[in-house]
Amino acid sequence: MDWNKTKTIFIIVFAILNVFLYSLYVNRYTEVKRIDVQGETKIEERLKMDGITYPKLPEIETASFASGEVWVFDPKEVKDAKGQTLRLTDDRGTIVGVPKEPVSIKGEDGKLDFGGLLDKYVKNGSDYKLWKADEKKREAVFFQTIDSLPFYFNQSSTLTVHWNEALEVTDYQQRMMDEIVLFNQEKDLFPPIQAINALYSRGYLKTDSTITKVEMGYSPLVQLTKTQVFAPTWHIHVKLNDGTSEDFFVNAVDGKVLDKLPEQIIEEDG
Amino acid sequence: MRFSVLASGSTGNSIYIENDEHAFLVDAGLSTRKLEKLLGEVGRDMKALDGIFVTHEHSDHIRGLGVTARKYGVPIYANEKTWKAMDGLVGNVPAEQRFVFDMETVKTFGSFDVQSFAVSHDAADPMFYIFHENGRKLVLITDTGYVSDRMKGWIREADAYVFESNHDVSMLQMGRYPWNIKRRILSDVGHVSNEDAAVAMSEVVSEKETRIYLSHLSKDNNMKDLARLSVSQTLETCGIRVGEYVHLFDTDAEQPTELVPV
Repeated sequence: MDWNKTKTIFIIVFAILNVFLYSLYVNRYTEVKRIDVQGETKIEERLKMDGITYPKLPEIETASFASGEVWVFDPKEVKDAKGQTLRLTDDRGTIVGVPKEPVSIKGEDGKLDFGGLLDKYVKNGSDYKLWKADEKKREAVFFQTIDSLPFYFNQSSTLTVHWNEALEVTDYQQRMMDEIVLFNQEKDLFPPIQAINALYSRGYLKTDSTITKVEMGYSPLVQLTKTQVFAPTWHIHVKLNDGTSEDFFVNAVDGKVLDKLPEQIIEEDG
Repeated sequence: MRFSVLASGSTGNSIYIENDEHAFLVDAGLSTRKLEKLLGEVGRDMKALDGIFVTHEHSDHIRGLGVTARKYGVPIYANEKTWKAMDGLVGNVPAEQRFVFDMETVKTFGSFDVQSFAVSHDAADPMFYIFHENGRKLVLITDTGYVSDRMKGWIREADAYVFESNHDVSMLQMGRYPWNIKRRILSDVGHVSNEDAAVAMSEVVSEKETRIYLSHLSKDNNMKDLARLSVSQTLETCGIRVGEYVHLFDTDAEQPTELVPV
């Protein structure tokens, strides 16, 4: 038997086989890629077909988890208060403030402006961001922020303001977190279009609705002995056909749609 | 005695321990190439290994065992049930490299005394190791569903611990794992949570300088910062002030910890 010939035949046969297998692999790979592209287009197309529109989406790709400790107010702050009367709850976790002089929230063009209150009366007022102002109830809710990103519906970091008919603040209730830190490790985020898709595929998005806002914030994840841990969260604000609106929250790390967060309600826009 | 946690987590585990005479690995749960690289990063060589102690037969603990044994001729130590369970998983390990290390016994290698003890995990006969040298004690304890009083008796008053802090219970419960996996992790033969680990630590540490390396963190249900926060707060609740004499350290799935003396 001529082993050299046999060896050559084997090499040629296996070379041909390798080329064949490689071409199969390339075909399969291309098909899979094509399916992905079609899938992505489909989300956008299906939204379009249902008349659901959305704004330009944020391009944040990574974010860290965050943690914070509930601030316990110092009774000395109550004693030393200037221009307002302060009262602490029993657990010293909430401070209630009543300005001594009228503090107007009347802004330009009939809009509400809380700048005066936040700057002069509320501890670390600039850290709070307006979530909702209900003019009928005369109540505004603010969420504490880190790097301008709010902690959604976290009861330990919410500010509630009330006012009277003359648009003057009657009182406010503040809870605050301290020692807020971002975890070292950044996580890849679930893209906002996928967060919208998570809502759409679960039937949360109604036909002809308009997504007016997609923004990043934090939602409570874990409660440790002293500290709360927060997960990066997409907040998606949707305006419905009938004038009402809804807010949805999607965990930005694993894409899980969060149950309604505490106190979350459907707002009446009109 | 010096040690480095080369890698820790469900993707692969290996711990390097040495003194002036001997060098060992506990587990070889990564490919041989990866182990060579990680050991190189702490300035050590696989050729210098005197043995590998195996804890149990799960793939994240033995993935590179067979190849490493054959390539470097390193002696392998495991208990009989683990050897049986590893049959067909690690390929052929030459008879002269196969050694039986029974549960709850001590083997002496020069000035090293290596002690094995049982843990509670869903493997054939899982056990971990304690290294003693000149009155210093290094405890390795991961892959256990809980820390029993018997285990606490073995591991008490060490100078350094490589201690499992696998998951945060809420993250695991809310997470996407299927229920049967969640149930397995939370069971007595699964893995210990951050808080349970901390409670066990609080019962075994003494009032001397102690280094604790939080290890085998779940990729999906834990984070380094979360584990450290959770363990330190639970320890403080138990009256142990972290940073005073107990010091916590992270481990990583891909980066070795610094080679430090015990």
